[in-house]
Amino acid sequence: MNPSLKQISQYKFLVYSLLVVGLANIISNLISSELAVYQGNFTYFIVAGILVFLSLIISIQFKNSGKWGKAWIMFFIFSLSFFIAEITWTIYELVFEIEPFPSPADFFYLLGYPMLFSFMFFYLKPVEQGISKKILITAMLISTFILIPTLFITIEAEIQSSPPILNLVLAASYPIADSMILVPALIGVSLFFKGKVNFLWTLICLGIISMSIADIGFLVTTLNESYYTGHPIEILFHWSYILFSFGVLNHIQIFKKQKDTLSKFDDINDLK
Amino acid sequence: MVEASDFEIKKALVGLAIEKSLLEFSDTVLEVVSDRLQDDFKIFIPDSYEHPEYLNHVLKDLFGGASVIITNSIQKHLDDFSDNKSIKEFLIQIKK
Repeated sequence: MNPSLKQISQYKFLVYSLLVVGLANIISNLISSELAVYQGNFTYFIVAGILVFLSLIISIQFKNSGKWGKAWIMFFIFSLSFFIAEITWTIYELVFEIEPFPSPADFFYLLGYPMLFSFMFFYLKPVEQGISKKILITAMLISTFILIPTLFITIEAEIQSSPPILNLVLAASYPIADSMILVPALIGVSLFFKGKVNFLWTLICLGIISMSIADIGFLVTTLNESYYTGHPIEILFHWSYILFSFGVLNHIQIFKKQKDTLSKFDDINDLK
Repeated sequence: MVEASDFEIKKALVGLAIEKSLLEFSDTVLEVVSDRLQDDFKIFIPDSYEHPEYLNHVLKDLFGGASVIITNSIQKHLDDFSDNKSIKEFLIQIKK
């Protein structure tokens, strides 16, 4: 298929995936919140599982070579960590019938953040010279905008209802972590602007923004005790997995090796 | 014994500089840039010495604005030879 046609069909598939997942959530919520719990847990299993699968493929593709090889290993660990967290959540909720928040799932969610940050660190390392103060300050300002409502909501909740401190700290730590990982994501978008790899960075950035809004929503609904798995706010969590997956898929296609012949040098390892 | 010409030596030096710069990213990145040069322009990496505009095109297409940092890295690897007229010309062309 023509590369540009392939790109267009990928965009279409991305939009359809977002729509289908969003509609499935809304329809299940309209039928019953009990169905939404099952639908929500099932969707996490699928979307997080696909991300793990694609991350594994790209980690193999980059063979742990160079900075990007290490970056993709980190991304794989991130996706695996989030997948384990989703499975743990589902087991707690549907098998043990225990409130899944807080639970060991939070350990795996929180473990994922430094891994995602490491991915972006290693990916951007070879082009770090291009990170100007202007780019850094702009990225930090944007991420602070996400942090402000979180801090505001947390402080207000503490004053008004005094929820269990562990729940409050855990629920607030997610949007804080989101705002931190948004900084390198925004830097990536600006550095690779107009390049093919920018599609990955744009989707990672949108995925993190989607996750940030969902985490703020999770914080609010947890504090007012209206949260349940499958809540419409979770559409944004599902979307973040889908956006990450399409970014990785696009990267796999860009860096798909076509030939066995590499260069006129017999062993490229001799050049390192 | 066959002696390499000045042209061939410079071509090999440029090829090495490009490959070293791309290997900082990954073997896979080097392989894909090499594939793109062969598929789109029918040249190998060392041939970029004669056609820097092709390499420039591939780097810009893949990395966008960050391609400048890669060309800076290539320049750094060729620093010892930057007084040479043809290497200097190559470095000017690759940055266009």
